[in-house]
Amino acid sequence: MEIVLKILVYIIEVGVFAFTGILFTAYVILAIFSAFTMRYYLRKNSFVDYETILSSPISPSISVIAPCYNESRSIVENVRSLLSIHYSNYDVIIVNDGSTDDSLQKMIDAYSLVKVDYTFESVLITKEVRGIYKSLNQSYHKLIIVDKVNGGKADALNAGINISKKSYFAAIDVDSIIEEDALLRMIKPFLEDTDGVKTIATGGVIRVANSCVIENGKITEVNVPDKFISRVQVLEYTRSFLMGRMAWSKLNGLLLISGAFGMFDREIVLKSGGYNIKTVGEDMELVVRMRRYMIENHLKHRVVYIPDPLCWTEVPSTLKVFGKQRNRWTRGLIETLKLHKKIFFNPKYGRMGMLGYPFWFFFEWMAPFVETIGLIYFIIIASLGLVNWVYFAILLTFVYFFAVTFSFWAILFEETSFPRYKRKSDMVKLMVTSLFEPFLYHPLTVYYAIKGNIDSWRGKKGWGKMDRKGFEKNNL
Amino acid sequence: MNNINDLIKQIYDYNPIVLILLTIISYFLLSIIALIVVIIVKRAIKLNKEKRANELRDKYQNLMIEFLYYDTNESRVVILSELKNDFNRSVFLEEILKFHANMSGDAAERIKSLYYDLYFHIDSLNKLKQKQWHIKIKGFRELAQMDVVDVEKNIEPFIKNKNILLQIEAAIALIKLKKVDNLDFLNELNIDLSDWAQINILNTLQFHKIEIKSFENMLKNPNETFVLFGVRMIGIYKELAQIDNILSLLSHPNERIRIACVDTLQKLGATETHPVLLSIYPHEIISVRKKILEAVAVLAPESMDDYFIQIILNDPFELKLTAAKILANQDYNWSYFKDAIENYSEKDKMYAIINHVTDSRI
Repeated sequence: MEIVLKILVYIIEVGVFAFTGILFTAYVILAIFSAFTMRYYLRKNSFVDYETILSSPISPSISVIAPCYNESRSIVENVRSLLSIHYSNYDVIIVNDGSTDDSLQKMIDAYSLVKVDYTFESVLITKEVRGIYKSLNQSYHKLIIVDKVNGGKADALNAGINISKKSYFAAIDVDSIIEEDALLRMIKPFLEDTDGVKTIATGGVIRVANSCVIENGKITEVNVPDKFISRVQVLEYTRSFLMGRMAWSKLNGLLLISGAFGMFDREIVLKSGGYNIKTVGEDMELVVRMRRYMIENHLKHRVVYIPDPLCWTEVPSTLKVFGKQRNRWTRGLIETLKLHKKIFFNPKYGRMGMLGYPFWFFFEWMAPFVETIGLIYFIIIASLGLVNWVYFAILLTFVYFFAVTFSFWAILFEETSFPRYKRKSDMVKLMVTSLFEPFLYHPLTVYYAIKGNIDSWRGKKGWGKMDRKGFEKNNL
Repeated sequence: MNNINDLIKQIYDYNPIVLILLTIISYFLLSIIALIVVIIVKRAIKLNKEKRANELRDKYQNLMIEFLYYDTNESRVVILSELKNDFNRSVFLEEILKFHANMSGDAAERIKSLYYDLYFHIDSLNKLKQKQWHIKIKGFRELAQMDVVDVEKNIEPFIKNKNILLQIEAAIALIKLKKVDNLDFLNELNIDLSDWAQINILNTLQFHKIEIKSFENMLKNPNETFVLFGVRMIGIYKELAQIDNILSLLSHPNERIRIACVDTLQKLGATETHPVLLSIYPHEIISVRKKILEAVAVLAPESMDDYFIQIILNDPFELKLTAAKILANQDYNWSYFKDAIENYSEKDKMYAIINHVTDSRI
């Protein structure tokens, strides 16, 4: 019995230690890759005139597809923001996904909409489309409003894809704020295809809009969020987008384009079967499936991530909403990993199978378990009086300083790439936040990830109600 | 004191991993301090630089206006006295380039002479010798914009550079500088011509009103992206003599080239080619067929109503809609068609298509 216990203790100690070591090393390697990729990107785009795309007859057409569910408070303003994007050949498709509030009526009134006999082919199966609306006012000719029976975000996006007649589409959250030149920047990687490698999707940085001043659907003053829980997500997003996805893009192993804003090749999405309506992680699942489609058909492809801050979104500012969001993210991740388990360490799927998928499996899905096991183990040996406190203090300090150093690097990345926080106090706030994050915020993310796993195991589906403050006021 | 000594002794008694961890922790601590300093200093330098540049920009814009409208010796002396360091020179150069891009005729020529007088062409040429590739590209762009003479030989070697961005940017600069009526030298590039590169080349040709005699040689390039570019340009520049060459490319294995060929024939108004397009239609994929329908609608000298009606009745949805749109644009009278499909099983779908294409709001 004693021997078994000793072996178990050894496995836990060495296992947790090795896991942490590999995880930290992976993060450092990704950060280094990101740094070089970022430098290349900044140099490459330092002399680019995006306006040339506007006037060129070669430029492709784009649909902006935004699902809308109970967005009455801000829908009119948000649609106006989408209609003012700089691009010559695009339309805006708002899919009212069976809202129970007056979102549709507000759009009808604000944009002089009338129901039209718009016909389309339902290549992707969706819930019934009740009607399609166009404006009587020529100024809004780019606007298409689709009213359909509620079927969830993925279903609404699929309806939008069916209706779109453009070559590419940008999927966005209607309550996000898009920079005016977002489409110009997002389409560029598609235009840069060479050597038979096809760009199938692009994603950009999602920035936190909480506490920012918003006028006429545009960010006019960028502020660090007032609330700690929102502020710490600024750091988290910066780390994830600028230090993680940048590197995965370079390695061509990117598996996730954020649902808040991503651009896709419509034809490839249709061939891949569109968004999966049975998962709550439809954004990640689609990218993985598109990649699988390309690989299985021997088509060279890439998924590109660009570091420009193109989309601003409201992040959860209460624990309740934050918990629901993280729970959903975890369930979405599990569903995607389950659906595509075939590619796990499968050399046929190249870097996606050998690097991307295993990274998500071990370091995104498994990490909270390893942390929890470590914590339970610590509580047990502490209660038995077996803790070597000096050893424990050193390990804890090591982990803490690694996390803080990483966050400071993220702040430096933000500062050297596309700095948006102009005030010195904003930087100081972020630095101070990073000192508290490991104690106050990180345990919450682990807790909600575990809860998400339990809910997934219990078969919980759906998004849960996501209460947001909305952008109707001047600031959030 | 004894306690601290005990603690240190205890630490040294541990395995080497602890010592490694302690070393790394010290490194983390130092790097956090260093990062704070770097972030603060970097931000201060950047803001200061931005502030100085903005002040200088305002000042230089006024100087440029004074120079352009009054061109006194005094204004030149003031300008010269301003350019005492590299930073001021770079800001002034930016302003010169901006003014030049927005001016034409005599004003543009005077800005160009000022560029020479202040030896900015030497600055631009020196950029070509820099290690960093993006600085070299900046140099290409400046030299091309100001039409600096006899610098082609300095740029030409970059056409064969390993860096594809340098290759493309060098080529774009040479299009402006060479002043030749063909783009044959582009065939020396050993890279693909992406859509982005094509957009930029076309933009250069159109912005500087560069006349190109023929794009024929592009069609002979073994690289498909050059062929695609050539086909597109022949359409845009209405090179009628290339109709036969375009027709021969209609059987090209690359779908994008075939679509571009049909589009080009439409742009060229090659009416005589519509029977060929109709003959290949049944064997083509949907994207090409869609383009053929659009082209035939423009090119066919006689009414094609019956042909389009057959498409509406028999072809896939996307083509039905395209054909119906064409008929709607020609103010087709749908009553005959509606009568004809009265007993048709897909009557409702047909009506939906007709309603769609005849609604001016859609």
